[in-house]
Amino acid sequence: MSDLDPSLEPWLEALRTEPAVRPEAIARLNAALRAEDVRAARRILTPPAAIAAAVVLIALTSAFWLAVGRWLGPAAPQQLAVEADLTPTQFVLHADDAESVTIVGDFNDWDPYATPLVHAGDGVWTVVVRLRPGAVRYAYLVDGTEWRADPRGVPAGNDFGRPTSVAFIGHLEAP
Amino acid sequence: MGFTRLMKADAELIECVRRGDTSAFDTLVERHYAACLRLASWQLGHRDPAEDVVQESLIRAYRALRRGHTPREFRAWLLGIVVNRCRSHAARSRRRRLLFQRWWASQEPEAYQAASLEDAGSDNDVDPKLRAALAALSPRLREAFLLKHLECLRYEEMSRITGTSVSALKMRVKRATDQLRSMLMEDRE
Repeated sequence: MSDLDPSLEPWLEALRTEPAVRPEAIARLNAALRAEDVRAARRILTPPAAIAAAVVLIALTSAFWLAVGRWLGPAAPQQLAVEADLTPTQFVLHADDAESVTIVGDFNDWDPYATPLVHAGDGVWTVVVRLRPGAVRYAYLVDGTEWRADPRGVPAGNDFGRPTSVAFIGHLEAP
Repeated sequence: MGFTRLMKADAELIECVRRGDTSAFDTLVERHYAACLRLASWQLGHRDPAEDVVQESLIRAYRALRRGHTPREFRAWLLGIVVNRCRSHAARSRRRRLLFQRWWASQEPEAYQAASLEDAGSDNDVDPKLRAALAALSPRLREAFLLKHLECLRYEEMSRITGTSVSALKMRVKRATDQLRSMLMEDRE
């Protein structure tokens, strides 16, 4: 099976040990899979609803593509297909003295300028981001200089020396 | 014979998933989760992101099966998804690391220096020397070595799931082996 140098075999034994599976990770996975089932079930419509939905869809799609054809060009169909699987997710941070707040995360390639939060008053900053199902790491950047994990979020560890948070999209609850 | 029976059972379970029996996928998860986690943990170097990657991979696999995809060899196909997700995760992590480093170094240079030295922390009880040796390999060499000697895939299977030629993979495995031997055996020589 393996033509490995025999001198390395003892080291490989340690590598091959299968890690213990954490029950909470399996629970999280199962919740995500059941969320997939729910999403799939929602796509299956009863016949009257399907006809009504089809009529509305055709009308909306036609209007949409007329506009898209004028403004966006050929890349738009793929974009639309991808967006069907996205979940609107609201992020909220309380930062009294902030002049600006942005969110950085897996969903925007950690771009500090891509996703600014809007000040909703009384120090509350908020933004809605459409996210794919699964675990999403993120953090806030206050006034362009101060990193903050989400004080109400799930800590995601400290792997690069700065705390981040993790959101579980499509799950009923965090582990 | 046991191996053959196992593959048949996977194929039967896949058929059940395609027909809508979601519990069949739970059995596939039970059977292959640990191997996926092992591969992702060694490829990424940490367990937490590995769990995220495995979850993402299994959800993608589930979607594909529900859509009617029929992989010839489920395990190799699933490991291929894990490999691809590891690559994406690593790319995201690189961007995040660069961003953190840039901002942090400008804000708190002393704290940044201190933490950089601790960056290679471990989260399991494997020999630190082995961990360091694997971490020192380039991602592509590590990936090829793990698929070959950890998951015991054939070069043809590795080629299919990585999109790399057999000869290139053989070269990567050889280079990885040479480097590991050099790093792990240096104290003994």
